[in-house]
Amino acid sequence: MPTEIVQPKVYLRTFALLLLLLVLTVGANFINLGPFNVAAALTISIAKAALIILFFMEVRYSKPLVWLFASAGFIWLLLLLIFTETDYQTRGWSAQNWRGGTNGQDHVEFNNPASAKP
Amino acid sequence: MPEAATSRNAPPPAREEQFNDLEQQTEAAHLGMWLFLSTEILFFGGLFGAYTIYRVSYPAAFAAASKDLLMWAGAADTAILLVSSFAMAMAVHAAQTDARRALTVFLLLAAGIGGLFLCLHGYEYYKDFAEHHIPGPSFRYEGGKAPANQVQLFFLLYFLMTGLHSLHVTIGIVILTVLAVQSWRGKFSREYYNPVEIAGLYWHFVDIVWVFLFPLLYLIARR
Amino acid sequence: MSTQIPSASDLAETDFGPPPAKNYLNEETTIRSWLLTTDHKRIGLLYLFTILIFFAIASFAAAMMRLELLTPAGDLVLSQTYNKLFTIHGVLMVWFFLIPSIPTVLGNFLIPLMIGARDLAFPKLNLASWYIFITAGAFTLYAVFAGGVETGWTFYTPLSTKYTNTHVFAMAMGVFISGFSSILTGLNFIVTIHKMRAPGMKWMRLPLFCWSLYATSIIMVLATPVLAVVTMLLAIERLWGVGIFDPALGGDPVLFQHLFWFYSHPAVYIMILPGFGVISELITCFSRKRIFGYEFIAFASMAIAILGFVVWGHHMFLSSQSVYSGMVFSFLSFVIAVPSAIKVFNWTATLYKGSITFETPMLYALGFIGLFTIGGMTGLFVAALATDVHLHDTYFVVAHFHYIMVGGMVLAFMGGLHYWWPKITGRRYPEPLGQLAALVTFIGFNLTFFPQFILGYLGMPRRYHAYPPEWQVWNVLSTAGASILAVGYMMPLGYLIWSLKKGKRAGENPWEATGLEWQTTSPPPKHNFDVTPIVTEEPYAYPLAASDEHLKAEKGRRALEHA
Ligand SMILES: [Cu+2]
Repeated sequence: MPTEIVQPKVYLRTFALLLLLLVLTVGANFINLGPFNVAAALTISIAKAALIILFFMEVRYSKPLVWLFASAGFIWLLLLLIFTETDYQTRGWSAQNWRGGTNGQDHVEFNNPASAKP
Repeated sequence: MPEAATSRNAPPPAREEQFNDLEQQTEAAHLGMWLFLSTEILFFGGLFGAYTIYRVSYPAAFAAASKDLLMWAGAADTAILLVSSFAMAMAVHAAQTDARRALTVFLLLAAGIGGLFLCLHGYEYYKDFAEHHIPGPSFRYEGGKAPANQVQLFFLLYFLMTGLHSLHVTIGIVILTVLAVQSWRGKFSREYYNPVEIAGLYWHFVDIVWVFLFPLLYLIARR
Repeated sequence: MSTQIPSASDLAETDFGPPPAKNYLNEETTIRSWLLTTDHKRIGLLYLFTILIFFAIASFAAAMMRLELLTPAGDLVLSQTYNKLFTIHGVLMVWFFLIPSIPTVLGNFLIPLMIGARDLAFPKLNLASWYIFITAGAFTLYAVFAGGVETGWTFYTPLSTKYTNTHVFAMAMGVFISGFSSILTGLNFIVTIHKMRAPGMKWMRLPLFCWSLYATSIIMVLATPVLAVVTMLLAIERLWGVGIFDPALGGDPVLFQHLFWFYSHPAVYIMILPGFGVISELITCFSRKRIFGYEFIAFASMAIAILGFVVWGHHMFLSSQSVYSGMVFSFLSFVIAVPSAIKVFNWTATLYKGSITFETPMLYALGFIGLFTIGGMTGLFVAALATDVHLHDTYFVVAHFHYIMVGGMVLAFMGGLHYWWPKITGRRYPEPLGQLAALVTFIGFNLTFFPQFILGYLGMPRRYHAYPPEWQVWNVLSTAGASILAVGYMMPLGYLIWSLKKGKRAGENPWEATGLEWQTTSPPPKHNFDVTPIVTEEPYAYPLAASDEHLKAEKGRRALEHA
């Protein structure tokens, strides 16, 4: 619950910035940044989301408790993403380290015909 | 007497009996909505998690499949939702300043632009249908640049994520329309406009989901 | 206050006068007034009635399984029927009894009373979550009676999506819907505890029961949506024929397990944290002593709730999960044992030099401490990577989590139900019968589940209806224990119903307990308090202080007062 009334010009500026970021993200799609393609797209998305949360959703003008409640969901989502992705990223490690031993089976390529190399 | 005039137009603030005052009620409703949005984040989060795993596993197939989506439609979707969000923010401002006619108009505008989003997205679904991109027995992929099964997995995630999002948009349109009718009948005033703010939070959240869906689904491959 | 410490049993024999003329039970008595009530106390009772039905069905399934296991041969039911029995048992016990048990019955009834509020923040939402729960139950019971499901409560893919032709869709929908009931309950509790506290009820004066339910609600709100999405994906995969867990598309069935356990491990804490809360209340009341380390117990609840989210992979050590992930999850599972142990130490420290009496709730509470400790310690066996290879999917795991779920949660639920029964109904249950039932439950429980530790260690796998003959003796013991346990469950059902009409009148505060809920009438009026209470002291101002130093200070203060 905001502690003050937000003026329309704040909304208007936020809206303009959001449109600018949209143009930026589409434009970035025509430039190849290599491994930074995803990073650029996600950074712009996070900036957009932050603008919406802080100004349109008025968190910027709200009590600390609202800040906490607004961030909790994102933090927990990060836990979910990080811990599952860790599993998938490290599944291949043991197989590569000890290849040639009894544990030669590579687990990460679950039924992936594209990467099944001879 | 000016007080009499306001009390004729606006009904007395609706305080529920478990609350001591309207401020407590408003703050409770806000916290409740934020908690609900946290659950929504994790609800979509399960799908975003699956997306992350598979995109990292099959980057080539996801890039190839993403090229078959209409990028300009996706960008237009985003712009449409941003305009709708802006209209919603203006609706809240109208409620705060007791501009009841403006409140009704902005609520209808936000809902109507949301309807535009659904139309455009419906057109995209129609194109996918025509190109046999609906996962299932009729699925076809002739690009040949990537294994068809992985492309199908991408389209499955695409339909699940955008489908769930469109469902949320539809619910939002219904809520905003109901609020517009209530506003037109004079239910809200400077003292009591809690439902408008709460619905606004939900509507902006739907926008945020799309802000992430757009680059993750439409902008994988360079053009 | 006199230096004589009043014992709770002194008051047990007293019959107090008639209840207040108007209370939440008799204000309106039509069926309609119950089905459309928004009173948190009545909704609590609606839940109590509902979950007892589910408990009865799930217990019946357990009884059939124990009967089948009496002999080594699979001679009572077919193996597929046996699969359906343990699925019914698991699904109903987890989502329709354990998860709602203490939060929706005692939590609903007590949170507003304990914090001095007139109701929860969102009473209509509260009623709506009961109706959602009923709808979920209808879907699940339909699946049960239409022919059952054989996947176990975990619904692992690809068995659940491809290789079974049972009613997985309906049951997944039931679980999906029940999740929303749970989410709305948790949301309601969090907002209520933040916004509805009476004047003077600071966070550090909040009863520990409320702290534990606050922590539980965090899990309900942040974990349950992932269960919802994963059961939704499962249902879609069965309906649509294609799904993201399908290896034919390049999908990974183990991803289902990740998403499932992201909810279902924290759900273990949804089931046990409220039990911690009840035990904290009971131990301090029946020791007539301030709780030891109030802050530690409160923060341990929060630590468990948060840490509980990052240990889920310990269910997947043998599922092709990366061994490095396994190490992290194993380590974190050991870490989470610390706040749980802190609680046990604080309870025992509270007992130390307390003026302990052994009423029924206290017997359940003491049983809880012992059994939870065993359940927790054996949890470390299965959280260790190497030993889990041997113990995974054996009866050792079954025994471990039943020590937590039944020895922990069910005993806490029974203890809490007896403790607050006078407040809920205005009547007292017969104390000697209650004590006997608590004892029978304790003995029956141990006889049922201790042999299963041994069976598991010997290598008996779970979820089979036949086994080699050399394990029969342990299985016979376990089945014998189950029948004693059943008596322990039946007894309270009998005398609690009897006490509704014939029990002695309770009076406001039959246990001489602290806490706002005991300051209003029994049963309470519709809006709980005639005047909003003002809180001026800590929650557990019992005559005995938490440590010797406090005790000396207290004696000195009293001496001064008398002088
Ligand atoms: Cu676990």
